[in-house]
Formats: sequence, structure tokens, C-alpha cells
Amino acid sequence: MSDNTTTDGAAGGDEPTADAGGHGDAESTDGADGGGGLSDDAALLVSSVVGLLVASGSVWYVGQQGVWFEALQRVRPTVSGGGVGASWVYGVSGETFEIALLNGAIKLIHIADIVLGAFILVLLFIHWAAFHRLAARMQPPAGSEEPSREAAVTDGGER
Amino acid sequence: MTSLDHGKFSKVTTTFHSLLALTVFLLFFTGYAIAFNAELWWLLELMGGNTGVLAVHRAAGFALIALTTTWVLYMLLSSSDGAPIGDLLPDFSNDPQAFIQDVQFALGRADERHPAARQFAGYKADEIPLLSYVGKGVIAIFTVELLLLMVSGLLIWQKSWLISTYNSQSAAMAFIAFHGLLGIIMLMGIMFHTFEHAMHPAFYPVEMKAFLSKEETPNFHGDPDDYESTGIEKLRRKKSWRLAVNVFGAAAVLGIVSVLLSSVTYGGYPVPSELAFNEGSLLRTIGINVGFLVLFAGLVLSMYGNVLRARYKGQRGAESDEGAGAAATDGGRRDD
Repeated sequence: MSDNTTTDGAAGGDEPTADAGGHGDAESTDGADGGGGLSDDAALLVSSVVGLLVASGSVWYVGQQGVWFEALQRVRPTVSGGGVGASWVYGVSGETFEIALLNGAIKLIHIADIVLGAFILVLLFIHWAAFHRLAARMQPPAGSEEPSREAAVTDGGER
Repeated sequence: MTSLDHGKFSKVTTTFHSLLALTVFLLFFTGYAIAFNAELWWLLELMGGNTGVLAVHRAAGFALIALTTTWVLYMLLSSSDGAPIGDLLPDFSNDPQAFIQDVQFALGRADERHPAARQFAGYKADEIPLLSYVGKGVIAIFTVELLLLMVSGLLIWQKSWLISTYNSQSAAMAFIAFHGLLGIIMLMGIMFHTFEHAMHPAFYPVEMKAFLSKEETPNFHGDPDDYESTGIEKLRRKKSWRLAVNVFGAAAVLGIVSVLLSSVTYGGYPVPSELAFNEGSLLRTIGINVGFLVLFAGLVLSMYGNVLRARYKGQRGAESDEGAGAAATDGGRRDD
């Protein structure tokens, strides 16, 4: 562990100052695999501009799709003629293909919720158990009654 | 050269992760205060009522689109930062084995977690991939989910558009139900994600991998073959860990089960023909609120990770200031 510490210390000496420079440093050390392409700063700038444009553009586009309200829900006297309330009935009837499609999509998501939810629970339980196993390998907390098994603490396992 | 526990993310990625967390939690708190209003009515009131909450939800949705587009594009454009896409995608030859071994490890039938599952890398950092199999799964599922959530969110942004397209008001409700039900997967996933990265005994209360970039993380230069184990047995457990992991685990399970069961009975669409008062259920109300407490803990921890990063950098700066030579030999006290 001690050789590890010294190298850490040495690295620590120059890293914090390099941090201020930001991404340029990463580039100089890791750039070997990169080859061509933009520098990290340029890439970040370009992508954040595009990101903002995409977000603004999509919100703007959606905003443009509003309907002139008088074109909506024209009053006709009967349900069969598409009268008041007819569109409401149509939407929940599930009779046409496009409404059946919406219903199907929702059913699919319900199934995905259940399947993935069960899987997430399984993952959570195995991690829970794994954490207990890993913790049993660690040194007991400071000041606890459990005797520490070895003298390894002399080099300071303390965090 | 490998990294000791194990900074593998760039500064852009760690920053993106923190901002994404903020945005997603904001979307959860605003969106589900509306969808689970019978259980989280107080949250809606606390945040200023329907109109304000919907406005915040849209603002956060805007930020989410901008953030994810930026990060994905950055990963593609950057010459040095972009990981090979293969490192981010599930590896079907390895990852199922990692999952099976994780199950065996939990049952006590395997001695170690699979390298593709290991969170604490220690001396074996060389063998650990950029992301664990869970991490890859998270990225894959989130990509699909976020995309669908953004698209359905944009569609219900302007409901009169849907109403005129389908020529029906009630059909527009289907998109809202779709959007809300889809978010449930994310909701459950984030509760697990918080548990996974907050309650690992070696990292508790927060795994710094996501907050400390690879440039700032100490490196391990030894040969992993010289060491038999990851070295976890040298670390000391925190006193509060045992209670914390059990309480937090139980809360996360209760939260996940509650939102899952509620989502099954979630009656958004087809729109009910009768006006029926939702009786609600005390048990479900408690469960969902506990789940949101878990999410709130996740939000706090993602802030705390940044506090720890700032503190750590301050400490490193102070150490390098007091005598550049002497400090290196006796080593930093934080690094064991």
C-alpha cells in the first residue's frame, strides 16, 4: 500500500493545478487514441450550442402546432354526426385502429413496468446481499467490540 | 497505469451526470406530484400548485433535451473523451455471466463478484471495465426511455395538437398516461441506482466515481497480479453502515413495490366514464411517500458527492502547498 501512497502523493502535487485548465489536459494525456476530430473544448462548445438549438427547436415546433380553437370541436347535434361529446366517446371506445394502437402501447408499457420492476427488485436484493458479504470482509468500525483479526491496522486502514 | 477506484469518467461526464440528476429529480417531483396526486398532494401544494408545477416540469424537460443532446454529441465529437461506443453497450457474451455470478455471490456460492460487476476495484482495477454490467444496462434502458419520454413529453406539451390529430380530446389522455407509465421504470431504476451507489460498504455514503473525474482520482501503478484480492479487507467499515443499508434497502423496496402496484392500477386511460372519487389507500400512500423519500435522499447524495469532491480537492491543494517534498513520503492520510 505504501508505494501506492507515494505515487498518489506525487500525482496529487501537479493534478490540482492542472484541473483549472479543464479538458485540455485530459486531451494531452489521453489523446493518443483519438487521431483527428475536434479538441474537447471545441466539441463541448459545438455540442452545447446544438443541444440548446435542438431543445429550443423542438419546443418551438411543438408550440407551432397549436390549433385555432374555432377549428376544433365543431358543434354538430348528434354523436353519429360527430357532435358535442362525440370526440370524447370516440377516444375511449377503442374501436378504430389508431385508438387500439394507443391502448396497445399503454398495455405494453404496463407489461414493461412489471417486468423491469421485478428485475430491478431482483438486482436490488442481490446487491443488498452482496454488500453484506463484502462488508464482512472489511475491518469492523472503530470502537466496536469485534476484535480486529490482524495487525494490518498499523499502516492505518483509517479513512 | 490503472485508476484506484477508479476514476474513469471525464470532467464533462461527471458534470453532466450531476446536472442530469438534478433535472431528472425535478421531473420526478413535479411529474409524479401530478400523476400520484392522491398520494403526493402535499408535494404539489408545497411546490406552488398545478400551474407552477407544470411550468417547472416543462422547463426541466427543456433542460433534459438540451443536456442529453449536448452530452451524446460531445461523446461523438470529442477526440479524446469519447469512450469507444462498445464500452457503453451491454456485452452479451460477458454481462449475463456477470449477472449470474452476482446472484451466486449473493447466495454465497461464488467467492468474488465478476469483474464486470465489481464496484470496488482496488488492486484489481485493471480488470474492471469502464462500466459494470448494471451500468451498461442503465445506459441502454435510459437511452430508450429518455428518448420515448422526451418524444411523448413534447407531444403532450401541446395537447390541442393531439386533440386535432386524433379528433378526440380523450385520446390525448392516452399520451399522458403513456408518458407517466413510462417514467415509472425510470423512477424504480433511480431508487435502485441510489441504493447501489450509496450503500456499497466501501463507498458508503456515496461512491465518488461519478463525482471525481479521472484526472482528479488517485492512480494505482502497481501490478494487479501481485495482489490476491481487491484489498477491501484493509478498509474500515463505517459504524452507521449496517443500519443505513438495511433501512435504505427496505425503504427502496417499499418504494419500488408501491409505485409498481400503483402503476398497474393507474387509471389514466381510457378515461373513466364515471366521475368516481379515488378512495386511495393508506398503505399505498405511505409506500409512495417512502419511495419519494428515497428519491429525495438520492438528490441530497448527488449534491453531497459534489461537496465531497470540493472538499477533497481543497485537501489535496492544501497538502501540495505545505512542502511539496515532505508530503509525498508520508502520504496523504485519506489514501489509507
